[in-house]
Amino acid sequence: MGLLSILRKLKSAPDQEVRILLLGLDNAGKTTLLKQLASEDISHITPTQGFNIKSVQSQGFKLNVWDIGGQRKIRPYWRNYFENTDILIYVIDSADRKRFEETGQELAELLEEEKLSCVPVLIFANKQDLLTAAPASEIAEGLNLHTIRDRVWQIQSCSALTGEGIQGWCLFPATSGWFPTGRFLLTESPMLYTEELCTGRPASSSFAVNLGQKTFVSQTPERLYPHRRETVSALMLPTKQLEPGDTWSQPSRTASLF
Amino acid sequence: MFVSLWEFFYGHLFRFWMKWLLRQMTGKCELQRIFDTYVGAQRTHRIENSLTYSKNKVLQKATLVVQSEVDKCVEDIMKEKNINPEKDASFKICMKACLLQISGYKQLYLDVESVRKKPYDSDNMQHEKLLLKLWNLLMPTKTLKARISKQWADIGFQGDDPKTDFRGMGILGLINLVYFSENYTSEAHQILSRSNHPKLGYSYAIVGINLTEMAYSLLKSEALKFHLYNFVPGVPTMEHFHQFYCYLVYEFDKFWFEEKPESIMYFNIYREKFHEKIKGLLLDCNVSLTLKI
Repeated sequence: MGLLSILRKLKSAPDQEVRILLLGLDNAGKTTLLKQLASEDISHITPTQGFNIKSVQSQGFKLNVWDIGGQRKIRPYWRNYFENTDILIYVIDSADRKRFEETGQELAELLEEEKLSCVPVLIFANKQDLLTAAPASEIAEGLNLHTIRDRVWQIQSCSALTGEGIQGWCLFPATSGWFPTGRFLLTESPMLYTEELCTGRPASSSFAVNLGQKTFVSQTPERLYPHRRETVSALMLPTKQLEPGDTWSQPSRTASLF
Repeated sequence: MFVSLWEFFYGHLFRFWMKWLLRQMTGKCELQRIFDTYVGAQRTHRIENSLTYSKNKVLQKATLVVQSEVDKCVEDIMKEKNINPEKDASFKICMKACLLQISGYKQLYLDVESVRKKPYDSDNMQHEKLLLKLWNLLMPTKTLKARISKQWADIGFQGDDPKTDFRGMGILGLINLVYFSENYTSEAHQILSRSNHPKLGYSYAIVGINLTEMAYSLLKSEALKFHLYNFVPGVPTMEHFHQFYCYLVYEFDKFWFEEKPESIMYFNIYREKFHEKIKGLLLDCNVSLTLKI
Protein backbone atom coordinates (compact mmCIF):
# COMPACT_ATOMS: atom_id res chain seq x y z
CA MET A 1 0.00 0.00 0.00
CA GLY A 2 1.37 3.35 -0.95
CA LEU A 3 1.55 6.39 1.16
CA LEU A 4 -1.88 7.56 0.32
CA SER A 5 -4.90 5.55 1.01
CA ILE A 6 -8.44 6.15 0.31
CA LEU A 7 -11.30 5.24 2.47
CA ARG A 8 -14.06 4.97 -0.01
CA LYS A 9 -14.43 4.50 -3.63
CA LEU A 10 -16.20 7.20 -5.47
CA LYS A 11 -19.38 5.60 -6.68
CA SER A 12 -19.96 7.56 -9.83
CA ALA A 13 -16.44 7.70 -11.22
CA PRO A 14 -14.43 4.65 -10.25
CA ASP A 15 -11.11 5.76 -11.67
CA GLN A 16 -11.18 9.43 -11.06
CA GLU A 17 -7.97 11.24 -11.71
CA VAL A 18 -6.64 13.71 -9.22
CA ARG A 19 -4.04 16.15 -10.32
CA ILE A 20 -1.64 17.11 -7.58
CA LEU A 21 0.96 19.78 -8.18
CA LEU A 22 4.15 19.84 -6.12
CA LEU A 23 5.88 23.20 -6.05
CA GLY A 24 8.50 24.96 -3.96
CA LEU A 25 12.02 26.35 -4.20
CA ASP A 26 14.91 24.20 -5.36
CA ASN A 27 16.19 21.87 -2.66
CA ALA A 28 12.88 22.02 -0.77
CA GLY A 29 12.46 18.25 -1.06
CA LYS A 30 9.75 17.90 -3.70
CA THR A 31 11.30 14.97 -5.52
CA THR A 32 12.01 13.16 -2.26
CA LEU A 33 8.38 13.63 -1.32
CA LEU A 34 7.27 12.36 -4.72
CA LYS A 35 9.45 9.28 -4.46
CA GLN A 36 8.20 8.59 -0.95
CA LEU A 37 4.68 8.86 -2.26
CA ALA A 38 5.45 6.24 -4.88
CA SER A 39 7.38 4.12 -2.35
CA GLU A 40 10.60 4.46 -4.32
CA ASP A 41 14.21 4.62 -3.23
CA ILE A 42 15.15 8.15 -2.19
CA SER A 43 18.92 7.78 -1.88
CA HIS A 44 19.93 8.69 -5.44
CA ILE A 45 18.00 11.87 -5.99
CA THR A 46 19.45 14.54 -8.26
CA PRO A 47 18.28 18.10 -8.91
CA THR A 48 15.16 18.14 -11.06
CA GLN A 49 15.71 19.61 -14.44
CA GLY A 50 12.22 20.04 -15.85
CA PHE A 51 9.67 17.90 -14.04
CA ASN A 52 8.92 14.44 -12.78
CA ILE A 53 5.53 12.84 -12.84
CA LYS A 54 4.29 9.80 -11.01
CA SER A 55 0.91 8.20 -11.12
CA VAL A 56 -0.11 6.39 -8.02
CA GLN A 57 -3.11 4.11 -8.19
CA SER A 58 -4.97 4.08 -5.01
CA GLN A 59 -8.34 2.42 -4.54
CA GLY A 60 -10.22 3.83 -7.44
CA PHE A 61 -8.21 6.99 -7.67
CA LYS A 62 -5.40 7.78 -9.98
CA LEU A 63 -3.22 10.37 -8.39
CA ASN A 64 -1.13 12.17 -10.95
CA VAL A 65 1.55 13.93 -9.01
CA TRP A 66 3.57 16.54 -10.85
CA ASP A 67 6.88 17.54 -9.33
CA ILE A 68 8.20 20.63 -11.05
CA GLY A 69 11.80 21.77 -10.63
CA GLY A 70 12.18 24.73 -8.28
CA GLN A 71 15.25 26.39 -9.72
CA ARG A 72 14.72 30.11 -10.30
CA LYS A 73 15.43 29.72 -13.98
CA ILE A 74 12.53 27.37 -14.55
CA ARG A 75 9.97 28.92 -12.18
CA PRO A 76 8.45 30.86 -15.10
CA TYR A 77 7.39 27.46 -16.48
CA TRP A 78 5.36 26.63 -13.38
CA ARG A 79 2.30 28.29 -14.82
CA ASN A 80 2.21 25.78 -17.67
CA TYR A 81 1.18 23.17 -15.12
CA PHE A 82 -1.56 25.05 -13.25
CA GLU A 83 -4.50 24.00 -15.36
CA ASN A 84 -6.94 21.60 -13.72
CA THR A 85 -4.91 21.26 -10.58
CA ASP A 86 -6.94 19.70 -7.79
CA ILE A 87 -4.49 20.06 -4.97
CA LEU A 88 -1.42 22.22 -4.62
CA ILE A 89 1.29 20.93 -2.36
CA TYR A 90 3.84 23.59 -1.54
CA VAL A 91 7.07 22.32 -0.02
CA ILE A 92 9.31 24.45 2.17
CA ASP A 93 12.79 23.67 3.44
CA SER A 94 12.22 24.59 7.08
CA ALA A 95 15.94 24.82 7.74
CA ASP A 96 16.68 27.26 4.94
CA ARG A 97 15.78 30.39 6.89
CA LYS A 98 17.66 32.63 4.53
CA ARG A 99 15.16 31.88 1.84
CA PHE A 100 11.92 32.06 3.84
CA GLU A 101 11.21 35.39 2.28
CA GLU A 102 11.80 34.08 -1.22
CA THR A 103 9.64 31.03 -0.66
CA GLY A 104 6.91 33.19 0.89
CA GLN A 105 6.92 35.42 -2.12
CA GLU A 106 6.64 32.52 -4.52
CA LEU A 107 3.77 31.07 -2.53
CA ALA A 108 1.98 34.41 -2.41
CA GLU A 109 2.28 34.70 -6.14
CA LEU A 110 0.89 31.22 -6.61
CA LEU A 111 -2.11 32.04 -4.47
CA GLU A 112 -2.81 35.02 -6.67
CA GLU A 113 -2.89 32.91 -9.80
CA GLU A 114 -6.29 32.75 -11.34
CA LYS A 115 -5.85 29.20 -12.57
CA LEU A 116 -5.10 28.12 -9.03
CA SER A 117 -7.94 30.05 -7.43
CA CYS A 118 -9.76 28.03 -4.80
CA VAL A 119 -7.36 25.12 -5.19
CA PRO A 120 -6.74 23.72 -1.73
CA VAL A 121 -3.16 24.14 -0.66
CA LEU A 122 -1.24 21.85 1.61
CA ILE A 123 2.03 23.30 2.84
CA PHE A 124 4.71 20.90 3.95
CA ALA A 125 7.20 22.38 6.41
CA ASN A 126 9.78 19.85 5.33
CA LYS A 127 13.16 18.77 6.75
CA GLN A 128 12.00 18.66 10.35
CA ASP A 129 14.68 16.00 10.85
CA LEU A 130 17.25 18.80 10.81
CA LEU A 131 18.04 20.44 14.13
CA THR A 132 17.92 23.90 12.60
CA ALA A 133 14.44 23.45 11.16
CA ALA A 134 11.88 26.08 12.04
CA PRO A 135 8.64 24.71 13.46
CA ALA A 136 5.59 24.77 11.24
CA SER A 137 3.89 27.33 13.47
CA GLU A 138 6.74 29.78 12.98
CA ILE A 139 6.61 29.30 9.22
CA ALA A 140 2.85 29.70 9.17
CA GLU A 141 3.21 32.97 11.01
CA GLY A 142 6.08 34.17 8.87
CA LEU A 143 4.14 33.48 5.70
CA ASN A 144 0.95 35.01 7.08
CA LEU A 145 -0.91 31.88 6.24
CA HIS A 146 -3.79 32.84 8.51
CA THR A 147 -4.68 35.57 6.05
CA ILE A 148 -5.55 32.99 3.41
CA ARG A 149 -9.30 33.23 3.16
CA ASP A 150 -10.09 32.09 -0.31
CA ARG A 151 -9.27 28.43 -0.07
CA VAL A 152 -8.78 25.53 2.24
CA TRP A 153 -5.22 25.38 3.46
CA GLN A 154 -3.21 23.35 5.86
CA ILE A 155 0.37 23.37 7.04
CA GLN A 156 2.02 20.17 8.16
CA SER A 157 5.50 19.65 9.52
CA CYS A 158 7.19 16.68 7.99
CA SER A 159 10.40 15.03 6.97
CA ALA A 160 10.25 13.63 3.47
CA LEU A 161 13.53 11.89 4.26
CA THR A 162 12.20 9.86 7.16
CA GLY A 163 8.62 9.83 5.98
CA GLU A 164 7.42 11.40 9.17
CA GLY A 165 4.43 13.66 8.82
CA ILE A 166 3.65 12.57 5.30
CA GLN A 167 2.43 9.18 6.27
CA GLY A 168 -1.12 8.66 7.32
CA TRP A 169 -2.44 11.25 4.95
CA CYS A 170 -5.59 10.26 3.30
CA LEU A 171 -7.45 11.31 0.33
CA PHE A 172 -11.10 11.67 0.96
CA PRO A 173 -13.47 11.77 -1.92
CA ALA A 174 -15.85 14.60 -1.47
CA THR A 175 -18.86 12.75 -2.68
CA SER A 176 -18.41 9.63 -0.65
CA GLY A 177 -20.27 8.89 2.48
CA TRP A 178 -19.85 10.75 5.61
CA PHE A 179 -17.47 9.64 8.35
CA PRO A 180 -17.16 6.19 6.92
CA THR A 181 -15.06 4.66 9.66
CA GLY A 182 -14.97 7.21 12.34
CA ARG A 183 -12.14 9.11 10.74
CA PHE A 184 -12.98 12.56 9.70
CA LEU A 185 -13.26 13.91 6.28
CA LEU A 186 -13.04 17.44 5.18
CA THR A 187 -13.28 18.55 1.66
CA GLU A 188 -13.95 21.81 0.02
CA SER A 189 -17.60 22.64 -0.14
CA PRO A 190 -18.55 19.91 2.28
CA MET A 191 -17.24 22.19 4.99
CA LEU A 192 -20.57 23.76 4.64
CA TYR A 193 -22.24 20.52 5.36
CA THR A 194 -19.86 19.80 8.13
CA GLU A 195 -21.27 22.55 10.16
CA GLU A 196 -24.78 21.85 9.15
CA LEU A 197 -24.55 18.22 10.00
CA CYS A 198 -22.71 18.67 13.20
CA THR A 199 -24.56 21.52 14.71
CA GLY A 200 -27.93 21.08 13.17
CA ARG A 201 -27.94 24.76 12.35
CA PRO A 202 -27.89 26.01 8.80
CA ALA A 203 -24.37 26.72 7.70
CA SER A 204 -23.29 30.24 8.29
CA SER A 205 -21.36 32.17 5.72
CA SER A 206 -18.24 32.33 7.80
CA PHE A 207 -17.23 29.73 10.26
CA ALA A 208 -14.49 27.77 11.81
CA VAL A 209 -14.70 24.12 12.57
CA ASN A 210 -12.59 22.57 15.17
CA LEU A 211 -11.50 19.05 14.50
CA GLY A 212 -9.58 17.82 17.45
CA GLN A 213 -6.55 20.02 17.60
CA LYS A 214 -6.83 21.43 14.14
CA THR A 215 -8.86 24.41 13.22
CA PHE A 216 -9.96 24.98 9.70
CA VAL A 217 -11.14 28.40 8.82
CA SER A 218 -13.00 29.34 5.77
CA GLN A 219 -15.34 32.04 4.69
CA THR A 220 -18.37 31.71 2.54
CA PRO A 221 -17.49 28.27 1.29
CA GLU A 222 -20.73 27.99 -0.64
CA ARG A 223 -19.59 30.83 -2.79
CA LEU A 224 -16.08 29.59 -3.17
CA TYR A 225 -16.42 26.34 -4.93
CA PRO A 226 -19.56 26.09 -7.01
CA HIS A 227 -17.69 25.95 -10.29
CA ARG A 228 -15.41 23.26 -9.05
CA ARG A 229 -17.96 20.92 -7.62
CA GLU A 230 -17.59 18.40 -10.35
CA THR A 231 -13.87 18.47 -10.83
CA VAL A 232 -12.59 18.89 -7.34
CA SER A 233 -12.87 15.71 -5.51
CA ALA A 234 -10.57 15.73 -2.65
CA LEU A 235 -8.37 17.39 -0.16
CA MET A 236 -5.71 15.61 1.73
CA LEU A 237 -5.87 15.67 5.44
CA PRO A 238 -4.22 13.66 8.16
CA THR A 239 -6.33 10.85 9.40
CA LYS A 240 -7.41 11.16 12.92
CA GLN A 241 -9.70 9.09 14.98
CA LEU A 242 -12.41 11.18 16.47
CA GLU A 243 -12.01 11.17 20.19
CA PRO A 244 -14.94 11.15 22.53
CA GLY A 245 -15.37 14.65 23.79
CA ASP A 246 -14.41 16.26 20.52
CA THR A 247 -16.38 19.38 19.95
CA TRP A 248 -18.75 17.74 17.59
CA SER A 249 -20.50 14.47 17.40
CA GLN A 250 -20.73 11.90 14.71
CA PRO A 251 -23.56 12.71 12.36
CA SER A 252 -26.37 10.29 12.29
CA ARG A 253 -27.05 10.41 8.60
CA THR A 254 -25.01 10.11 5.51
CA ALA A 255 -24.83 13.23 3.54
CA SER A 256 -25.38 13.24 -0.11
CA LEU A 257 -23.16 16.13 -0.72
CA PHE A 258 -23.86 17.33 -4.17
CA MET B 1 6.36 -20.93 -18.92
CA PHE B 2 8.28 -23.20 -21.30
CA VAL B 3 11.23 -20.91 -21.05
CA SER B 4 11.36 -21.12 -17.28
CA LEU B 5 10.82 -24.87 -17.42
CA TRP B 6 13.69 -25.19 -19.86
CA GLU B 7 15.85 -22.97 -17.71
CA PHE B 8 15.11 -25.10 -14.70
CA PHE B 9 15.99 -28.37 -16.41
CA TYR B 10 18.96 -26.86 -18.12
CA GLY B 11 20.31 -25.39 -14.89
CA HIS B 12 19.75 -28.51 -12.85
CA LEU B 13 20.27 -31.44 -15.17
CA PHE B 14 21.29 -30.82 -18.74
CA ARG B 15 24.01 -28.35 -17.94
CA PHE B 16 25.74 -30.89 -15.75
CA TRP B 17 25.52 -33.73 -18.27
CA MET B 18 26.46 -31.50 -21.21
CA LYS B 19 29.53 -30.38 -19.34
CA TRP B 20 30.41 -33.95 -18.45
CA LEU B 21 29.97 -35.07 -22.03
CA LEU B 22 32.01 -32.24 -23.46
CA ARG B 23 34.68 -32.82 -20.87
CA GLN B 24 34.98 -36.47 -21.95
CA MET B 25 35.08 -35.49 -25.60
CA THR B 26 37.53 -32.62 -25.44
CA GLY B 27 39.47 -33.50 -22.34
CA LYS B 28 39.01 -29.95 -21.18
CA CYS B 29 36.91 -28.37 -18.48
CA GLU B 30 34.33 -25.71 -19.19
CA LEU B 31 36.69 -22.89 -18.21
CA GLN B 32 39.32 -24.10 -20.67
CA ARG B 33 36.76 -24.43 -23.41
CA ILE B 34 35.65 -20.85 -22.84
CA PHE B 35 39.23 -19.63 -23.12
CA ASP B 36 39.61 -21.55 -26.37
CA THR B 37 36.46 -20.16 -27.92
CA TYR B 38 35.90 -16.63 -26.71
CA VAL B 39 37.77 -13.39 -26.32
CA GLY B 40 37.09 -10.01 -24.77
CA ALA B 41 34.05 -9.28 -22.67
CA GLN B 42 32.28 -12.41 -23.82
CA ARG B 43 35.08 -14.56 -22.42
CA THR B 44 35.09 -12.80 -19.05
CA HIS B 45 31.33 -12.83 -18.90
CA ARG B 46 31.13 -16.56 -19.63
CA ILE B 47 33.87 -17.34 -17.15
CA GLU B 48 31.99 -15.31 -14.57
CA ASN B 49 28.77 -17.24 -15.21
CA SER B 50 30.55 -20.55 -15.18
CA LEU B 51 32.15 -19.74 -11.84
CA THR B 52 28.98 -18.32 -10.32
CA TYR B 53 26.86 -21.35 -11.21
CA SER B 54 29.53 -23.86 -10.29
CA LYS B 55 28.72 -26.33 -7.54
CA ASN B 56 32.33 -26.25 -6.47
CA LYS B 57 32.88 -23.88 -3.53
CA VAL B 58 36.36 -22.80 -4.65
CA LEU B 59 35.06 -21.78 -8.05
CA GLN B 60 31.98 -20.11 -6.64
CA LYS B 61 34.01 -17.95 -4.31
CA ALA B 62 36.48 -17.01 -7.02
CA THR B 63 34.24 -14.21 -8.31
CA LEU B 64 34.45 -12.51 -4.93
CA VAL B 65 38.22 -12.76 -4.54
CA VAL B 66 40.15 -9.65 -3.46
CA GLN B 67 42.81 -8.39 -5.81
CA SER B 68 45.75 -9.44 -3.64
CA GLU B 69 44.58 -13.04 -3.55
CA VAL B 70 43.91 -13.53 -7.24
CA ASP B 71 47.14 -15.46 -7.80
CA LYS B 72 46.38 -17.91 -5.04
CA CYS B 73 42.82 -18.25 -6.25
CA VAL B 74 43.99 -19.17 -9.77
CA GLU B 75 46.26 -21.86 -8.27
CA ASP B 76 43.35 -23.24 -6.26
CA ILE B 77 41.14 -23.40 -9.32
CA MET B 78 43.83 -25.22 -11.28
CA LYS B 79 44.21 -27.69 -8.47
CA GLU B 80 40.45 -28.25 -8.24
CA LYS B 81 40.13 -28.72 -11.98
CA ASN B 82 43.30 -30.75 -12.40
CA ILE B 83 44.72 -28.39 -14.96
CA ASN B 84 48.28 -29.11 -15.86
CA PRO B 85 50.21 -25.82 -16.24
CA GLU B 86 52.61 -27.46 -18.68
CA LYS B 87 49.86 -28.73 -20.94
CA ASP B 88 47.78 -25.55 -20.83
CA ALA B 89 50.23 -22.72 -20.24
CA SER B 90 47.84 -19.93 -21.09
CA PHE B 91 45.17 -20.95 -18.57
CA LYS B 92 46.90 -19.29 -15.65
CA ILE B 93 47.32 -15.98 -17.46
CA CYS B 94 43.81 -15.94 -18.89
CA MET B 95 42.21 -16.93 -15.61
CA LYS B 96 44.09 -14.26 -13.76
CA ALA B 97 43.06 -11.57 -16.23
CA CYS B 98 39.42 -12.65 -15.98
CA LEU B 99 39.41 -12.74 -12.21
CA LEU B 100 40.98 -9.30 -12.04
CA GLN B 101 38.23 -7.97 -14.26
CA ILE B 102 35.42 -9.76 -12.46
CA SER B 103 36.47 -8.89 -8.94
CA GLY B 104 37.63 -5.48 -10.12
CA TYR B 105 34.15 -4.59 -11.35
CA LYS B 106 32.67 -5.48 -7.97
CA GLN B 107 35.34 -3.46 -6.19
CA LEU B 108 34.83 -0.51 -8.50
CA TYR B 109 31.17 -0.40 -7.59
CA LEU B 110 32.04 -0.38 -3.90
CA ASP B 111 34.58 2.40 -4.45
CA VAL B 112 32.17 4.53 -6.45
CA GLU B 113 29.44 3.91 -3.90
CA SER B 114 31.63 5.04 -1.03
CA VAL B 115 32.47 8.29 -2.83
CA ARG B 116 28.82 8.84 -3.70
CA LYS B 117 27.81 8.37 -0.10
CA LYS B 118 30.04 11.24 1.02
CA PRO B 119 27.84 14.32 0.96
CA TYR B 120 29.28 17.61 -0.16
CA ASP B 121 30.49 19.32 3.00
CA SER B 122 31.26 23.03 2.95
CA ASP B 123 33.37 22.67 6.11
CA ASN B 124 35.68 20.31 4.27
CA MET B 125 38.50 22.31 2.71
CA GLN B 126 39.11 19.68 0.04
CA HIS B 127 35.53 19.83 -1.10
CA GLU B 128 35.58 23.62 -1.19
CA LYS B 129 38.84 23.63 -3.13
CA LEU B 130 37.44 21.21 -5.64
CA LEU B 131 34.37 23.37 -6.13
CA LEU B 132 36.47 26.47 -6.76
CA LYS B 133 38.64 24.44 -9.10
CA LEU B 134 35.55 23.63 -11.12
CA TRP B 135 34.76 27.32 -11.40
CA ASN B 136 38.29 28.17 -12.50
CA LEU B 137 38.37 25.40 -15.05
CA LEU B 138 35.08 26.39 -16.60
CA MET B 139 35.39 30.15 -16.20
CA PRO B 140 39.10 30.87 -16.56
CA THR B 141 38.54 34.50 -17.46
CA LYS B 142 35.93 35.36 -14.84
CA THR B 143 36.65 35.56 -11.14
CA LEU B 144 34.10 34.31 -8.69
CA LYS B 145 33.14 37.33 -6.60
CA ALA B 146 32.03 35.40 -3.54
CA ARG B 147 31.70 31.82 -2.46
CA ILE B 148 27.93 32.32 -2.23
CA SER B 149 27.02 34.05 -5.41
CA LYS B 150 24.47 34.20 -8.18
CA GLN B 151 27.38 33.57 -10.55
CA TRP B 152 27.12 29.83 -9.90
CA ALA B 153 24.08 29.85 -12.12
CA ASP B 154 26.42 30.73 -15.01
CA ILE B 155 27.84 27.23 -14.94
CA GLY B 156 24.46 25.67 -14.38
CA PHE B 157 23.94 25.32 -10.66
CA GLN B 158 20.46 26.06 -9.36
CA GLY B 159 21.02 28.72 -6.76
CA ASP B 160 23.64 30.79 -4.96
CA ASP B 161 25.33 27.86 -3.30
CA PRO B 162 26.10 24.71 -5.28
CA LYS B 163 26.41 22.60 -2.14
CA THR B 164 22.69 21.80 -2.17
CA ASP B 165 22.78 20.54 -5.75
CA PHE B 166 24.90 17.43 -5.26
CA ARG B 167 22.16 15.65 -3.31
CA GLY B 168 22.19 11.89 -3.65
CA MET B 169 25.35 11.87 -5.77
CA GLY B 170 27.42 13.50 -3.04
CA ILE B 171 31.00 14.40 -3.78
CA LEU B 172 31.00 11.96 -6.73
CA GLY B 173 28.97 14.48 -8.73
CA LEU B 174 31.55 17.18 -8.18
CA ILE B 175 34.53 14.90 -8.87
CA ASN B 176 32.92 13.91 -12.17
CA LEU B 177 32.32 17.52 -13.17
CA VAL B 178 35.90 18.47 -12.35
CA TYR B 179 37.31 15.42 -14.13
CA PHE B 180 35.57 16.27 -17.36
CA SER B 181 36.52 19.95 -17.19
CA GLU B 182 40.11 19.09 -16.41
CA ASN B 183 40.69 16.35 -18.95
CA TYR B 184 38.51 17.65 -21.75
CA THR B 185 38.76 21.34 -21.09
CA SER B 186 37.99 22.61 -24.55
CA GLU B 187 35.04 20.21 -24.91
CA ALA B 188 33.76 21.33 -21.52
CA HIS B 189 33.94 24.97 -22.60
CA GLN B 190 32.20 24.18 -25.82
CA ILE B 191 29.42 22.25 -24.10
CA LEU B 192 29.02 24.92 -21.44
CA SER B 193 28.60 27.60 -24.05
CA ARG B 194 26.14 25.45 -25.99
CA SER B 195 24.20 24.86 -22.77
CA ASN B 196 23.56 28.61 -22.65
CA HIS B 197 21.66 28.42 -25.91
CA PRO B 198 18.61 30.70 -25.52
CA LYS B 199 16.11 28.11 -26.68
CA LEU B 200 17.72 24.70 -26.32
CA GLY B 201 19.84 25.54 -23.31
CA TYR B 202 20.05 23.46 -20.13
CA SER B 203 21.73 23.82 -16.76
CA TYR B 204 25.21 22.49 -17.35
CA ALA B 205 26.19 21.51 -13.80
CA ILE B 206 22.95 19.92 -12.71
CA VAL B 207 22.61 18.03 -15.96
CA GLY B 208 26.15 16.82 -15.24
CA ILE B 209 25.01 15.62 -11.82
CA ASN B 210 22.08 13.85 -13.45
CA LEU B 211 24.52 12.08 -15.76
CA THR B 212 26.62 11.04 -12.78
CA GLU B 213 23.48 9.35 -11.56
CA MET B 214 23.09 7.64 -14.91
CA ALA B 215 26.68 6.38 -14.93
CA TYR B 216 26.32 5.25 -11.34
CA SER B 217 23.06 3.39 -11.87
CA LEU B 218 24.43 1.66 -14.99
CA LEU B 219 27.45 0.52 -13.00
CA LYS B 220 25.24 -0.62 -10.14
CA SER B 221 22.90 -2.59 -12.38
CA GLU B 222 25.95 -4.32 -13.93
CA ALA B 223 25.04 -2.89 -17.32
CA LEU B 224 28.63 -1.61 -17.66
CA LYS B 225 30.15 -5.09 -17.56
CA PHE B 226 30.61 -5.66 -21.28
CA HIS B 227 31.95 -2.17 -21.73
CA LEU B 228 34.46 -2.37 -18.90
CA TYR B 229 35.53 -5.93 -19.69
CA ASN B 230 36.31 -4.83 -23.24
CA PHE B 231 37.74 -1.47 -22.38
CA VAL B 232 39.98 -2.41 -19.45
CA PRO B 233 42.22 -5.48 -19.73
CA GLY B 234 42.96 -5.60 -16.00
CA VAL B 235 41.34 -4.07 -12.96
CA PRO B 236 38.86 -1.29 -13.77
CA THR B 237 39.38 1.78 -11.60
CA MET B 238 37.69 5.06 -10.73
CA GLU B 239 39.49 6.56 -13.67
CA HIS B 240 37.53 4.31 -16.00
CA PHE B 241 34.30 5.26 -14.34
CA HIS B 242 35.11 8.95 -14.87
CA GLN B 243 35.96 8.20 -18.48
CA PHE B 244 32.58 6.65 -18.99
CA TYR B 245 30.97 9.70 -17.39
CA CYS B 246 32.84 11.93 -19.86
CA TYR B 247 31.48 9.84 -22.69
CA LEU B 248 27.94 10.33 -21.37
CA VAL B 249 28.33 14.11 -21.02
CA TYR B 250 29.71 14.51 -24.50
CA GLU B 251 27.17 12.21 -26.09
CA PHE B 252 24.24 13.63 -24.17
CA ASP B 253 25.00 17.13 -25.36
CA LYS B 254 25.12 15.88 -28.92
CA PHE B 255 21.91 13.94 -28.46
CA TRP B 256 20.11 16.93 -26.91
CA PHE B 257 20.93 19.26 -29.76
CA GLU B 258 20.05 16.64 -32.35
CA GLU B 259 16.67 16.02 -30.72
CA LYS B 260 15.91 19.72 -30.29
CA PRO B 261 13.47 19.45 -27.37
CA GLU B 262 10.78 22.09 -27.05
CA SER B 263 12.06 23.33 -23.75
CA ILE B 264 14.14 22.37 -20.77
CA MET B 265 10.94 21.19 -19.08
CA TYR B 266 11.15 18.04 -21.20
CA PHE B 267 14.58 17.17 -19.89
CA ASN B 268 13.53 13.98 -18.12
CA ILE B 269 11.82 12.60 -21.18
CA TYR B 270 14.96 13.05 -23.26
CA ARG B 271 17.15 11.90 -20.43
CA GLU B 272 15.19 8.64 -20.39
CA LYS B 273 15.40 8.34 -24.16
CA PHE B 274 19.14 8.81 -23.99
CA HIS B 275 19.36 6.33 -21.13
CA GLU B 276 17.54 3.71 -23.22
CA LYS B 277 19.86 4.37 -26.12
CA ILE B 278 22.94 3.85 -23.97
CA LYS B 279 21.48 0.73 -22.38
CA GLY B 280 20.91 -0.62 -25.87
CA LEU B 281 24.50 0.00 -26.86
CA LEU B 282 25.74 -1.66 -23.69
CA LEU B 283 23.94 -4.90 -24.52
CA ASP B 284 26.36 -5.61 -27.34
CA CYS B 285 29.12 -7.87 -26.06
CA ASN B 286 31.70 -6.09 -28.22
CA VAL B 287 30.79 -2.67 -26.88
CA SER B 288 33.42 -0.21 -25.78
CA LEU B 289 32.15 3.31 -25.26
CA THR B 290 34.88 5.87 -25.35
CA LEU B 291 34.83 9.55 -25.97
CA LYS B 292 36.09 10.08 -29.46
CA ILE B 293 36.89 13.64 -30.39
